[in-house]
Amino acid sequence: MNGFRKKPLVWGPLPPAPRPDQFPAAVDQDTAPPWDAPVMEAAGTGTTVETRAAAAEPDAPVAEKMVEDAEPVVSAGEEKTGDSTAVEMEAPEERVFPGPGPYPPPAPPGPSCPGMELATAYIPYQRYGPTYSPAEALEKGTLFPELYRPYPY
Amino acid sequence: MNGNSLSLLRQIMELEFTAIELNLFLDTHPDDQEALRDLRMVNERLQSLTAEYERLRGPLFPFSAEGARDHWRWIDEPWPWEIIY
Repeated sequence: MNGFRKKPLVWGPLPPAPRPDQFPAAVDQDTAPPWDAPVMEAAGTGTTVETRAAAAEPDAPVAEKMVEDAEPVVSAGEEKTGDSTAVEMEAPEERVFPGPGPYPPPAPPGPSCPGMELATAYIPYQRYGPTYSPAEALEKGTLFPELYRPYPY
Repeated sequence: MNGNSLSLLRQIMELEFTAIELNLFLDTHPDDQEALRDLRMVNERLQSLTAEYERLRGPLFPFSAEGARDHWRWIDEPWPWEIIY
Protein backbone atom coordinates (compact mmCIF):
# COMPACT_ATOMS: atom_id res chain seq x y z
CA MET A 1 0.00 0.00 0.00
CA ASN A 2 2.58 2.51 1.08
CA GLY A 3 5.58 0.91 -0.52
CA PHE A 4 7.14 -0.41 2.68
CA ARG A 5 8.70 -3.79 2.61
CA LYS A 6 7.13 -6.13 5.06
CA LYS A 7 9.16 -7.76 7.76
CA PRO A 8 11.36 -10.42 6.23
CA LEU A 9 13.19 -11.35 9.39
CA VAL A 10 11.89 -13.20 12.40
CA TRP A 11 14.27 -13.01 15.30
CA GLY A 12 14.28 -15.87 17.73
CA PRO A 13 15.25 -15.68 21.38
CA LEU A 14 18.88 -15.20 22.31
CA PRO A 15 20.81 -18.39 23.00
CA PRO A 16 20.77 -19.37 26.67
CA ALA A 17 23.77 -18.60 28.85
CA PRO A 18 25.98 -21.62 29.48
CA ARG A 19 25.34 -23.53 32.69
CA PRO A 20 28.25 -24.09 35.07
CA ASP A 21 28.51 -27.72 34.01
CA GLN A 22 28.97 -26.51 30.44
CA PHE A 23 32.00 -24.40 31.28
CA PRO A 24 35.20 -25.62 29.71
CA ALA A 25 37.43 -27.87 31.77
CA ALA A 26 39.23 -25.62 34.21
CA VAL A 27 42.37 -27.41 35.22
CA ASP A 28 44.95 -27.98 32.61
CA GLN A 29 48.63 -27.56 33.34
CA ASP A 30 49.18 -26.29 29.82
CA THR A 31 46.72 -23.43 30.34
CA ALA A 32 47.48 -22.77 34.02
CA PRO A 33 47.50 -19.13 35.15
CA PRO A 34 50.85 -17.36 34.92
CA TRP A 35 51.28 -16.76 38.64
CA ASP A 36 53.09 -19.37 40.71
CA ALA A 37 50.21 -20.35 42.88
CA PRO A 38 50.39 -23.80 44.47
CA VAL A 39 47.73 -26.21 43.28
CA MET A 40 45.85 -28.09 45.97
CA GLU A 41 43.49 -30.99 45.74
CA ALA A 42 39.92 -30.30 46.82
CA ALA A 43 38.83 -32.99 49.24
CA GLY A 44 36.63 -35.66 47.81
CA THR A 45 36.13 -34.02 44.45
CA GLY A 46 39.22 -34.90 42.55
CA THR A 47 39.18 -31.34 41.26
CA THR A 48 42.27 -29.24 41.65
CA VAL A 49 41.72 -25.74 42.92
CA GLU A 50 44.16 -22.85 43.04
CA THR A 51 43.83 -20.47 45.92
CA ARG A 52 45.43 -17.08 46.37
CA ALA A 53 45.47 -17.74 50.11
CA ALA A 54 47.79 -20.65 49.53
CA ALA A 55 50.00 -18.41 47.47
CA ALA A 56 50.33 -16.07 50.45
CA GLU A 57 51.45 -18.88 52.74
CA PRO A 58 55.03 -17.65 53.36
CA ASP A 59 53.71 -14.42 54.90
CA ALA A 60 51.20 -16.14 57.13
CA PRO A 61 53.29 -16.32 60.37
CA VAL A 62 54.05 -12.59 60.21
CA ALA A 63 50.40 -11.80 59.69
CA GLU A 64 49.39 -13.94 62.64
CA LYS A 65 51.93 -12.20 64.88
CA MET A 66 50.55 -8.82 63.89
CA VAL A 67 47.04 -9.93 64.74
CA GLU A 68 48.16 -11.19 68.18
CA ASP A 69 49.90 -7.92 69.01
CA ALA A 70 47.01 -5.76 67.97
CA GLU A 71 44.83 -4.21 70.63
CA PRO A 72 41.12 -4.95 70.52
CA VAL A 73 39.34 -2.19 68.66
CA VAL A 74 36.71 -0.27 70.59
CA SER A 75 34.84 2.41 68.74
CA ALA A 76 34.15 5.86 70.19
CA GLY A 77 31.28 5.92 72.67
CA GLU A 78 31.45 2.22 73.20
CA GLU A 79 32.70 0.86 76.51
CA LYS A 80 34.08 -2.48 77.39
CA THR A 81 31.43 -3.55 79.86
CA GLY A 82 31.49 -7.26 79.49
CA ASP A 83 27.81 -7.04 78.71
CA SER A 84 26.38 -10.51 78.48
CA THR A 85 23.99 -9.38 75.77
CA ALA A 86 26.82 -8.62 73.37
CA VAL A 87 26.81 -11.09 70.55
CA GLU A 88 30.14 -12.47 69.62
CA MET A 89 30.53 -12.92 65.93
CA GLU A 90 32.17 -16.14 64.98
CA ALA A 91 34.49 -16.06 62.08
CA PRO A 92 32.95 -17.97 59.21
CA GLU A 93 34.37 -21.37 58.71
CA GLU A 94 36.91 -21.35 55.97
CA ARG A 95 35.73 -23.61 53.22
CA VAL A 96 37.08 -24.48 49.86
CA PHE A 97 34.54 -24.70 47.11
CA PRO A 98 35.65 -26.57 44.07
CA GLY A 99 33.73 -24.18 41.80
CA PRO A 100 33.68 -24.34 38.06
CA GLY A 101 37.33 -23.31 37.77
CA PRO A 102 39.21 -20.13 37.10
CA TYR A 103 37.14 -17.18 35.94
CA PRO A 104 37.07 -16.22 33.20
CA PRO A 105 37.53 -19.65 31.70
CA PRO A 106 40.64 -20.06 29.61
CA ALA A 107 40.12 -18.87 26.08
CA PRO A 108 40.29 -21.39 23.30
CA PRO A 109 43.52 -21.38 21.36
CA GLY A 110 43.73 -19.07 18.40
CA PRO A 111 42.11 -15.71 17.75
CA SER A 112 38.38 -15.73 18.50
CA CYS A 113 37.66 -12.66 16.36
CA PRO A 114 40.24 -12.44 13.61
CA GLY A 115 41.37 -8.91 12.88
CA MET A 116 40.07 -7.47 16.14
CA GLU A 117 42.15 -6.30 19.06
CA LEU A 118 41.63 -7.00 22.72
CA ALA A 119 39.98 -4.42 24.99
CA THR A 120 38.46 -2.53 22.10
CA ALA A 121 34.72 -1.99 21.77
CA TYR A 122 33.10 -2.45 18.38
CA ILE A 123 29.77 -1.25 17.06
CA PRO A 124 29.00 -2.81 13.70
CA TYR A 125 27.91 -0.30 11.11
CA GLN A 126 24.19 -0.54 10.46
CA ARG A 127 23.11 -1.18 6.90
CA TYR A 128 19.78 -0.02 5.59
CA GLY A 129 17.78 -3.13 4.89
CA PRO A 130 14.24 -4.35 5.21
CA THR A 131 12.14 -2.32 7.63
CA TYR A 132 8.92 -2.84 9.52
CA SER A 133 5.75 -1.18 8.33
CA PRO A 134 4.96 2.10 10.16
CA ALA A 135 2.22 0.40 12.19
CA GLU A 136 4.49 -2.46 13.22
CA ALA A 137 7.37 -0.07 13.93
CA LEU A 138 5.26 1.98 16.33
CA GLU A 139 4.11 -1.23 18.01
CA LYS A 140 7.60 -2.66 18.38
CA GLY A 141 9.40 0.59 19.18
CA THR A 142 11.83 0.41 16.28
CA LEU A 143 11.71 0.57 12.51
CA PHE A 144 14.57 -1.85 12.12
CA PRO A 145 14.13 -5.61 12.63
CA GLU A 146 17.80 -5.98 13.53
CA LEU A 147 17.29 -3.66 16.52
CA TYR A 148 14.18 -5.37 17.84
CA ARG A 149 15.11 -6.98 21.17
CA PRO A 150 11.99 -7.91 23.10
CA TYR A 151 12.43 -9.08 26.66
CA PRO A 152 11.62 -12.79 26.91
CA TYR A 153 8.63 -12.48 29.22
CA MET B 1 -13.93 11.57 18.15
CA ASN B 2 -15.20 9.18 15.52
CA GLY B 3 -13.50 6.10 14.19
CA ASN B 4 -12.26 7.75 11.02
CA SER B 5 -10.51 10.53 12.91
CA LEU B 6 -9.00 8.07 15.34
CA SER B 7 -7.73 5.96 12.47
CA LEU B 8 -6.23 9.04 10.85
CA LEU B 9 -4.58 10.07 14.10
CA ARG B 10 -3.15 6.60 14.54
CA GLN B 11 -1.70 6.61 11.03
CA ILE B 12 -0.17 10.03 11.66
CA MET B 13 1.49 8.75 14.82
CA GLU B 14 2.84 5.72 12.98
CA LEU B 15 4.28 7.86 10.20
CA GLU B 16 5.76 10.36 12.64
CA PHE B 17 7.51 7.55 14.47
CA THR B 18 8.82 6.15 11.20
CA ALA B 19 10.08 9.60 10.20
CA ILE B 20 11.93 9.94 13.51
CA GLU B 21 13.52 6.52 13.08
CA LEU B 22 14.67 7.42 9.59
CA ASN B 23 15.86 10.78 10.90
CA LEU B 24 18.07 9.00 13.46
CA PHE B 25 19.38 6.54 10.88
CA LEU B 26 20.23 9.34 8.46
CA ASP B 27 22.11 11.20 11.18
CA THR B 28 24.78 8.53 10.88
CA HIS B 29 24.16 7.60 7.23
CA PRO B 30 23.51 10.97 5.54
CA ASP B 31 23.98 9.66 2.01
CA ASP B 32 21.95 6.47 2.20
CA GLN B 33 19.74 6.84 -0.85
CA GLU B 34 17.26 4.13 0.11
CA ALA B 35 16.64 5.69 3.51
CA LEU B 36 16.32 9.14 1.93
CA ARG B 37 13.79 7.81 -0.55
CA ASP B 38 11.74 6.20 2.22
CA LEU B 39 11.87 9.36 4.30
CA ARG B 40 10.60 11.43 1.38
CA MET B 41 7.75 8.97 0.93
CA VAL B 42 6.90 9.09 4.63
CA ASN B 43 7.00 12.88 4.70
CA GLU B 44 4.66 13.20 1.72
CA ARG B 45 2.18 10.78 3.23
CA LEU B 46 2.47 12.46 6.62
CA GLN B 47 1.74 15.91 5.22
CA SER B 48 -1.22 14.56 3.28
CA LEU B 49 -2.74 12.83 6.30
CA THR B 50 -2.04 15.79 8.59
CA ALA B 51 -3.80 18.14 6.20
CA GLU B 52 -6.75 15.79 5.97
CA TYR B 53 -7.00 15.44 9.75
CA GLU B 54 -6.79 19.19 10.31
CA ARG B 55 -9.46 19.80 7.72
CA LEU B 56 -11.77 17.36 9.52
CA ARG B 57 -10.96 17.98 13.18
CA GLY B 58 -8.85 21.08 13.62
CA PRO B 59 -5.20 21.91 14.11
CA LEU B 60 -2.75 19.28 15.19
CA PHE B 61 -0.22 21.96 16.10
CA PRO B 62 -0.87 25.40 17.59
CA PHE B 63 0.94 27.00 14.68
CA SER B 64 -1.15 25.26 12.01
CA ALA B 65 -2.91 27.54 9.55
CA GLU B 66 -6.14 25.68 10.30
CA GLY B 67 -6.16 26.96 13.87
CA ALA B 68 -6.26 30.70 13.29
CA ARG B 69 -8.92 31.49 10.73
CA ASP B 70 -11.92 33.15 12.39
CA HIS B 71 -11.78 31.27 15.68
CA TRP B 72 -8.94 29.88 17.78
CA ARG B 73 -9.60 26.18 17.19
CA TRP B 74 -6.63 24.89 19.15
CA ILE B 75 -8.73 24.57 22.32
CA ASP B 76 -11.72 22.90 20.68
CA GLU B 77 -10.37 19.41 20.34
CA PRO B 78 -9.68 17.00 23.19
CA TRP B 79 -6.14 17.02 24.58
CA PRO B 80 -4.04 13.98 23.72
CA TRP B 81 -4.58 12.44 27.17
CA GLU B 82 -8.32 12.74 26.79
CA ILE B 83 -8.43 10.63 23.66
CA ILE B 84 -9.35 6.99 24.15
CA TYR B 85 -7.75 4.95 21.41
